[in-house]
Amino acid sequence: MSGDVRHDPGSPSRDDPRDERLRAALRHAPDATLQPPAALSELILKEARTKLRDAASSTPNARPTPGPLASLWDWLTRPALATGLAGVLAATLVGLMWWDQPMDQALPRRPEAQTAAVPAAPAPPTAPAADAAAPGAAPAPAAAPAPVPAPSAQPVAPPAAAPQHKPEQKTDALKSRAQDKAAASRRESEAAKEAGAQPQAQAERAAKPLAPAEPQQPAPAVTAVPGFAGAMAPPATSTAPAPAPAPAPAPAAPPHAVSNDRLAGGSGAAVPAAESKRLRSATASADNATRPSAKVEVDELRLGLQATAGPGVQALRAAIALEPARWSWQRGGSPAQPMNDALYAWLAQLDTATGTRWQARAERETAAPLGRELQLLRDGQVVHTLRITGRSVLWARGQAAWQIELPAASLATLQAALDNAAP
Amino acid sequence: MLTRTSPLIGVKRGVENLWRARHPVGAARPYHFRMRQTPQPMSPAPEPPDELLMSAYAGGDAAAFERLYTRHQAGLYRYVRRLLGTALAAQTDEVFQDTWLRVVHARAQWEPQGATFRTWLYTLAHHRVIDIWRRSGREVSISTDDDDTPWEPEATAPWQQWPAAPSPAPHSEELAFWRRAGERLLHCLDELPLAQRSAFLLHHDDDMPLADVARALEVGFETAKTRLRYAMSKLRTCMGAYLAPLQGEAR
Repeated sequence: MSGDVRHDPGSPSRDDPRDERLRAALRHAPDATLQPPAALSELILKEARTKLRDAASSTPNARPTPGPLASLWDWLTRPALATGLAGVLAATLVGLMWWDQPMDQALPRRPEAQTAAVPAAPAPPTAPAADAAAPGAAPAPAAAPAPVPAPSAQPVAPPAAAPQHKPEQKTDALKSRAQDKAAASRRESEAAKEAGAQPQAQAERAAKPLAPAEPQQPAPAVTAVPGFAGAMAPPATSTAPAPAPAPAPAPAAPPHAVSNDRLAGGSGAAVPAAESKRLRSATASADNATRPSAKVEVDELRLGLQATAGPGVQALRAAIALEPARWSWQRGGSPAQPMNDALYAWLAQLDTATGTRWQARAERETAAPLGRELQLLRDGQVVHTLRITGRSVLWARGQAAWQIELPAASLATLQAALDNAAP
Repeated sequence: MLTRTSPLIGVKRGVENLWRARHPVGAARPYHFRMRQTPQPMSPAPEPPDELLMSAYAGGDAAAFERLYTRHQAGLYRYVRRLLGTALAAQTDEVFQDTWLRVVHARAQWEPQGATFRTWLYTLAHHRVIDIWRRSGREVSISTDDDDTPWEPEATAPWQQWPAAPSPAPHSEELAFWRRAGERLLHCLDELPLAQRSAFLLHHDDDMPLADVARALEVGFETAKTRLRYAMSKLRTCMGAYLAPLQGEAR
């Protein structure tokens, strides 16, 4: 036994001896020379090489070291830094957009500032304004409550009284900045002309007290009839005594009232830029603080704007176009007839011929040859009277009257056209 | 100084190696080469250890893995085949492949701490064999016959009457005897529990020291020793009963 079980010379002393017979039997077993299949060996070696290659390709050390630009980009794309840079970029962009712009345009537009852009719309630049807005000739106490119902102004009111801080409006204002500049320059030039044509009216306006010119009662009526409906309202023919002058300054009209007044007066294009700016700043002050002094200033400015407003056929046309069903016409005592396209075309022709050069007339002409007069009725009431004389065209509205001198040829053309449109 | 060698020398060595691989030790060769011993002016470079090759492979040297595979493929395949037994022999390729692929995938985590690469390799194979055993519904009783009772060989065991271990050049009858012994041993191995079988194979077939056997099987040294002794006792009993009738013929 001892000869069969031997210790391996190199094995530790504790190692158990091996049975040489069993080892010999293992060596002579049928599977002693067993080898793995060649295909299996090749598969294992191939897999080993593949894994090694894949690992080498995906090892971070195999990646080329990033260059300075890549490192800078990695640094810039950190969330905190990227956010800060984006903020600075946005601020720079906004600053460049408003570069070299006045502060009043850079700031969010106030209500009246937004309405200043309205004249660029189809709105007429001038109109025989509301009764209180009659240039000079209209007595101030005549500003009785307007009989025109407020709902008549609804179709026009939304644009003027819309929320003032809508983003699209601001964007729109940005887009039309250049147009505003051109329109402002044009308005200034026209205002300068009208200022020269109506010095007397301005003088009268300046001499009048504020309270009678703007009683408390008519204000809502006027503001409730923005646009042309208010301008086309029948004259204040009421015989009621003029309201007593308010002991205190009239409350400031809301911002949209101011804008509506301007719209009704059709003086948006004729308002001097400086005065408009003063009005905006004063209204903003009134909005913010509602101080009595600010309210007085706003009312004064509004009255000034209304007084300087001259008539314009364009506003009349707009008012008729807005509510054609309520308008009718008559000539020479004939029954009233509804408005038609021919008469509307004649008004357009008259508008083209006269423009905004109407001058106030002290007294109303009482007599005129038949056939040369056209009366426009609103809700059956005579509102406007247009009369073609030998040298001029007269326009009467309530107690106010305007005239404009035209060449004889133009007058003849207008007369012929009127005869054709309203036989 | 290197001397020039004839190209025939390489051919002769190749034929000799092929013969050794395909025939048992001592088998008569049908050829005779007059092998001239060429002088070896320089001692051959020692083979790098497994751990060094594995580290080289983990570092990206594919050739190192090929050398490792060539070195251990036959022994591991035989170990897996014998450990699985006749019933599960069809799973040999699968276990063998999985074992090597685990080596490939775990190359980065492998560190030569305590156990040698060879021990680790056989541990992986042993685990896979256990999985196959459990998957096939066989009971893997690790603690079978694992008591601390020292094993003592029976004095009257039949195996004691066996002939001595074969000589390096056995004659034909002796060679036939050991071939039948080998066949019988495989059948006897099938009767052993897995724990004892693995301990015996690692110790006797793969020449692994008992300490490494314990490490490869992840058991204590004494446990491995006990398993080995029980395995040897059972195998001797099994082999002696079978080979006893041949004992006289062998003599």
